[in-house]
Amino acid sequence: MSDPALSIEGLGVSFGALQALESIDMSVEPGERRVLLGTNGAGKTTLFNVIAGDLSPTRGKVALFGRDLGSIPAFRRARVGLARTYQSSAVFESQSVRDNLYLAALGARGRQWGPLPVDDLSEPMQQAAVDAARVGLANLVDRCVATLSHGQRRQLEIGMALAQRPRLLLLDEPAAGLSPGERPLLIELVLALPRDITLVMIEHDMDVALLVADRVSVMKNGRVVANGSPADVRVDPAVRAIYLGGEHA
Amino acid sequence: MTRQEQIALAVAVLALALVPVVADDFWLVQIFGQSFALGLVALSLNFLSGYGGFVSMAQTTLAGCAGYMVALTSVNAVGKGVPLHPVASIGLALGVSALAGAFVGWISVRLHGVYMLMLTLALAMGFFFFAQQNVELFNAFDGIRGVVVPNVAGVSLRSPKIFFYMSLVCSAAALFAVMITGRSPFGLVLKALRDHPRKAAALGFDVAAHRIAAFAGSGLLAGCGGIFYTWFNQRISASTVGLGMINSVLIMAIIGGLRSPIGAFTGAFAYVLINTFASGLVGAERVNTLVGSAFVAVVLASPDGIAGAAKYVRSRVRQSSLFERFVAQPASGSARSAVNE
Repeated sequence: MSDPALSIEGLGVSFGALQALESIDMSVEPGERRVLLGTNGAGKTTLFNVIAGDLSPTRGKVALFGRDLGSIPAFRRARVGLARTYQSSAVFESQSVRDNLYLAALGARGRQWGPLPVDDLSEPMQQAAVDAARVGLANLVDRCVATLSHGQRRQLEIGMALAQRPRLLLLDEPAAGLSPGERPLLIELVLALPRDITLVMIEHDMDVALLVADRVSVMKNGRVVANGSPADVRVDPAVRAIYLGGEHA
Repeated sequence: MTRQEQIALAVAVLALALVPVVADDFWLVQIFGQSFALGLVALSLNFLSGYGGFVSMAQTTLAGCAGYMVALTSVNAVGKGVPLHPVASIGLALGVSALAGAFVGWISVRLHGVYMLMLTLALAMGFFFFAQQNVELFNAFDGIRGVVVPNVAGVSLRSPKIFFYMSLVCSAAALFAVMITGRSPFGLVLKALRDHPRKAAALGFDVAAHRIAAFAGSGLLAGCGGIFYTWFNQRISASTVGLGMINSVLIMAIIGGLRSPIGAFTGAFAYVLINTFASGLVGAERVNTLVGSAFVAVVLASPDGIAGAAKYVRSRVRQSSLFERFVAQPASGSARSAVNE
C-alpha cells in the first residue's frame, strides 16, 4: 500500500492555555480532493500553518508522502513538494506578474543565488509566461502586481503555487472576497487541477466545497468532528448543527 | 538593468573620465574623490534598503572596519599593526568588512523596520565607543594617523589623478554590479523578502541566508568606500565611525534617493559640495543648518531624492506636447493608432 499524501497523527497546538488544535488525525490519499469545513476559529488555518511549517506543533506529527516533516523549516518544505496559498493574497506587490511566477518556480528548485541578470526571453521566464496563461493572466504578464484586482491576485497566487510543481497543494479559502462574477473562473481553475496534485482546501462556501471535494472533513473547536463524502456530510446532524446553529437538540 | 540605463552609465563614466582635463587637484580629490568614497558607503545602504528593505545604520561601521584594517596593515605614523603587501592589505580589509556585514545581518536576521534600525545603530555605537577607548589596537581617540598610501611602479595611489581614476572605476564597477543584481535571481529574491518575507519562505527561499548574504555584500561595497576614505584622509579615527558620520551617510543616501542606485553618488556629491563650500557662504557654525535644510527640502519636494526628481522631470518632458511634436512623433503616433485599433 502506498503512503498517504498527507498523514496527521494526534496533532495538537496550544498557545498558553488556549488549545487551538486539540487532537487532529487525518489521512489524505494521493490525488484526493479534501475540503476542510468549519466555522471561524475552528482551527483550519492553524492546521495549514502547522503543515506548512509556519507553526510548530505542541504534540503529534505530520508526514508528507510517508516522510515525517518533524521540525523541517518552512522553506525546505516547499522543496519536498508542498505549496500553499494564504487567506489574504500573499504576492510580491512591487514586482511584475512574470517575476512573481518566475520566483515561485525558482524557489521550489532551490536555485536562488544567481548573481547575473535573467533575460525575459530565457527558458524559465518563458515558462513563467506559460504559467500566467494557465491561470488566465496571459495579458497581464508584464503588469506590476500592485495594479492587479483582488480576483487577479487570487489567480496569481494559485498560479504561483502551481509553478512550484507541488505534490500537495493547500488552498486557504481561494474564493474569499471574490465577487459572484469572479467565482466561477476560480472554481473552474481548481476543478481543472491535474490529479497528480493532491489538494486540501479550506472553504466556507458549501456550494463550492461540495462541488470540488472527494471527501470533506468538518472541524470544530480544534477537532475533526465529521469525515465523509460530500453526500454524507450534507446530511450529517453534527454538520447541520454547526452550520445551521442548531444547539437546541 | 535596461539598455538605456547601461548607456546612461557608460556616458556618465566617460564624461567623468574627462574631468581631469579641466579640474584642478582640489576638485579631483577633495570633491570627486571624496564623493566616490562616501558614495560607495551610501551605495551599500542603498543596496540593502532599495532591494531588501533593510534600513541599516551600521554601514559606516562596516566601512570603518575596512578602513581600520587597511590602516593597520599599512605603514603608519603611530606604529600600530603590521605593514603588509598592499594586495594582502586590501584583501584583508574587504574580507573583514564583508564578515562584519554578515555578522550584522546575522544579529538582525529576524528584525524589520525601526527595530532593525535601532539594533544596527546600537552595534554601530558599540563599535564607535570601543574604537574610541581601545588604545592597543585602535589608538583610542587619536586613531591611526599618517597612513602611507601604497605606491605602484613608483607612483603613489594618493596622487590626485590616480586617486580620482581609481575611485571612479571602483565606483562605476560597484554601481554596475548593484544595478545588474536588481534583475538577477538573487536581487529578485531580495525584493521578494521586502514585499512578503513569509511568502518567500513558503516558496522555498532561505530567508535568513539571503539576508545575511545581502549584508555581507553590502559590507564589501562599504569596505571599498572605507578603504578609499582612509586613503583620502590618510588617517582613520573613532570620529570616522561616529554618529555624525553615520548620519551623514544616511543623509547622502536619502538626498540622492533610495529607489535607484545612482542616487547614492548624486547624494554623496551634493553632500560633499555643501559640506565643502557652505562654510565659506554661511559660516562654519551654520553648515549643519544648511545640510539639514537641504535634507528637509529634498524630502518634502521629492521623497525619492535627486534621482527621483530627475526621473520625474524626464517623464514630464516625455509627456509634454513639445516633446511629442518634435522628438517622439513617429513612436507616439503608432502607439496612438494601436490604441485606436
